[in-house]
Parts: sequence; C-alpha cells; structure tokens
Amino acid sequence: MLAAIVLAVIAIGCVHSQTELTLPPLPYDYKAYEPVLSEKIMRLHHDKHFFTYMNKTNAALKAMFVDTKMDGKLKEIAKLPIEDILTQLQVLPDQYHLALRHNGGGYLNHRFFFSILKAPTATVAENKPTGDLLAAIEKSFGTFEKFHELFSAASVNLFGSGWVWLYVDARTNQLVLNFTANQDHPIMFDKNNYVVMGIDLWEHSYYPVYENRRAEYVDNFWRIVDWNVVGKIFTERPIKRSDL
Amino acid sequence: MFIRICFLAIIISCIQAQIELTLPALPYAYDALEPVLSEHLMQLHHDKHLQTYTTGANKLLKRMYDDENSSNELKGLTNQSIEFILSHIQYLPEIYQVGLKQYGGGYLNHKLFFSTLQKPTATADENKPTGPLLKAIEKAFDSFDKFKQIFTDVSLEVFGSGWVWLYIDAYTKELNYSFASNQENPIMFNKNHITLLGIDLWEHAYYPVYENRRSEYVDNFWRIINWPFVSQLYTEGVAKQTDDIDKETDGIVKHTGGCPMHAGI
Repeated sequence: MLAAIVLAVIAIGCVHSQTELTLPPLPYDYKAYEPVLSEKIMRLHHDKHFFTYMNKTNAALKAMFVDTKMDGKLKEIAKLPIEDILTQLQVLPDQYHLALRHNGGGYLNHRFFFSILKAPTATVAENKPTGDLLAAIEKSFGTFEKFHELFSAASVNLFGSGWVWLYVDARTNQLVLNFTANQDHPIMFDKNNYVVMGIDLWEHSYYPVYENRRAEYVDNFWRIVDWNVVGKIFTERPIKRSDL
Repeated sequence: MFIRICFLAIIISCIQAQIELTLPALPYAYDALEPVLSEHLMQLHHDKHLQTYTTGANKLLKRMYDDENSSNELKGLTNQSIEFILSHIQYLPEIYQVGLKQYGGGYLNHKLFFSTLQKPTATADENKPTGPLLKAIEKAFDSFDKFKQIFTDVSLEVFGSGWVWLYIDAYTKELNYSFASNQENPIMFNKNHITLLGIDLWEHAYYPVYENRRSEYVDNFWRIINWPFVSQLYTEGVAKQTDDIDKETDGIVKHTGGCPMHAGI
C-alpha cells in the first residue's frame, strides 16, 4: 500500500511539474575568497543577484507550464533542464523568450561561476591549469601566458554588462575565447558550445571591492580560478564520434 | 552675410584640430545630493567614470583626426561639438562609430545627467515640473503621475547597463521616452531628437548606496531631479527645432570637404 502511494507520488511528480530551480550554496564559506572577493560581495552576489535570477526564472517556467499555446509544447519545454531550455529560446513566444534569456541565463551563468572559484593563491603566477586542459589552451593560444593576456584584455575592454568565456567551440572542437552581453551564455548560440571557464563582468561582481577599477578585479581573478574544477569540467566534455 | 559666416566657420575649422573634451565640473558639491546619492558615489561617478569617458572619447577623436585614411569631411567633423558628432554618428566609419557611441555617448550622457540633478526634496511627491514642461508631459502622458509610473516601470525593466530617456521627439515635436542600452542617447537615432532628462541605470550609478536595490534608487531619483533646469532645456529645445537650424549644420558638414589647410597633413 505504502509502496503504491509512493509510486503514485513519484508518478505525479514526474508528470505534473515544471523544472523548479534551487539555489546551490557556495562550495566554500562566504569569507573564503577574501581579500580578492569580500564576504560582503559574495553575500550580495549569491544571496541577492543569483537568488533573484532563480526566482524570476522559476516564475517564468511556472507560467509557461500552464500555458496551452503551441499545442502543449511549452509545457514540455518547461519540464526540461534549464541548459536545454536555453538552447530553444528561439521557439518561445515573446513573453517567455526574454524572461528566460535574461533570468535563465543569469541563473546558469552564476551557478557555473560560483562553482569555479576557490580561496585565492598568494600570487597569480602560481595558479595555473595542468594536464589536458593546459595542452588544449596551448594548442589554441600558443602559451598559457598568451591566453591569460587575451582573456584579461577582452575582460577589461568589454563595454557594459557581460561575460568573457573560455569554451570548446561546437564547430571546431577547439578552445576559444568569446564574450557575451548581459546574461547570454554560449549554448544559446550553439547547443554544443561547451563552457569551461568564465568571468562575470557586470559591475555588481566587483564594485563593492574594486569600485570602477575593473582591471584590478580581472588581475586578481586569476588567483581564485579553481583550475582543478575547470580541468575536470574540460575532461568531462562530450567527445564527438569524429574524435574516436 | 550668412555665406560669409559659413566661410569663416570653415576657415576656423580648417585651422583647428579635433575638439578636446574637458571634464565638466559638478554644478554642486559632491555631498549636495546626500542622502539620495552619497558623496563617495558622486566622487566615483564624476571623477572616475566620467573622467574615463572623457579620456576615451578624446583618444578616439584624436585617432580619427590623425588617421591618414580619414577624409577631410571626417576630420572636419571631429572639430564639431560632441552633440553634433553623435547626432551625425552614421557618417562615421564603423570602426569609430562603436567607440564614439560608447565613450562619446558616455561623456555626453553623464554631462547631461549631472546637470539635471539637485539637492533632494524631502519627499518625491513634492518635486514636480511646472509651466510649459508640465503641460507637455500631460499632453504626452495624460498626467505627471502616469509619466512617473511609466518611467519608473521601464527603469526597473531595463536589463543590463543602460538609460531611460525623456526627450522631445523629432517628428511629433512631443515628449517621448525610450530606453537605451549601454551609452546610447536618442540623438544617435535622430539628430533632431532633443534629450531632456535621463536616469543612469548602470550599476555604478547606484551600487555604492543601494547595492542591488535598483527600485529604491529609482524611487529616490524623483527627489533629485532639477525640474527648473529640465524646463529650461525643454524651452530651448522647442525653440531649436526649426528647419533653419538643420540647413546651417548641414552646411558645415558639406563644406569641410576639400579644406586647403589640411593638404599634406
């Protein structure tokens, strides 16, 4: 009897709800990133900005789930993981398209960003990738130093709000650098783009510590990139049949 | 007589290099807008952000002037006011358009913004426009309160960095509002739009005081608008929107081509 009830609940849960995003905690304490990122900025960034993106995305998905337009297709899309929803923005009606691009993008980007940060190393020079990831960076950019220089320059020069990304390009299968405006994510442009590392360049990401001095934030960012995590993300990338 | 004035303008343009923008002083002390905008925020916003736009715009204008590929017309354009350059942005080569929209726009927008602010009133409700500007707002939006609601709502909806603007529309001659991303300004879309008032929605404009709470910033913004000054801009703007002015400025653009003083530079 109990088993039947449990199975019924599971069945109802599977069929009857849209994706509901939750707020993953930071992998470390709010203070752990000091002095590169202060406890105060981490609380604001995680508990306010990230939280708001999550709430707004959930609200849009909830509305989409009960929307009968497009012969039930909206309901189906609303049940997908957020990464999949963001690859299908172009089919969504206006009222959901921007809401999900902005807030769903904001959710995904921040979930990713917080997962690749760690306590700062004493210096920038001592914090580097190794193994396959380093080899792939060298293949695309010549040396790690050159990559560092290009990534930093792109970050300092980005105008307005946006991100700079290191990702495996869907078409060439090589690591590339690119920027996106606002909360756009590379998968929005090709579902097979595979993000490996990124930096948040919205002013809220650095203003409480660095004020207008974005270059100083970018310089210090290299001390908090968790190359172990990033290396693992790279290793776990889907391997194309053509590579085998 | 008019033709002589035009030729004089041309000769003067020939001798001068590109315009050099200077950092306009705040029309009030840094702490004058407390508690709505703190002294520290005003110092950052004016001395750092506006300074950066000033320096960046000047670098671009100099580069455009020094560029051996720049036509005489283009060089002549660099000597005009920043308002003129930005309202004719489509004449610029693409490589300069992007940068000037960013840094030239940043310069113009902040110069205007700071000039339209004043010491806060105790409440938002007591701070209102009067006279012809109020009539124009009522004509375009039904009432000042409706205008305030729309402007506030749009300000909260703007995603990323940008502005919300109140301007005199070139075609209707009536007031209109628009939102712009990054440092865009209505004059970049039509040289005859007259920008009257804007709210800076880049995070740097409010973060040191309001952190993520943009709605609190927007609510308090209504306490610091200098309506008498904005009214003045409105009156001047309405007077400016005549066909004669268009001919005059177009003349300057056409005649700086083939300027003999630039030969060999």
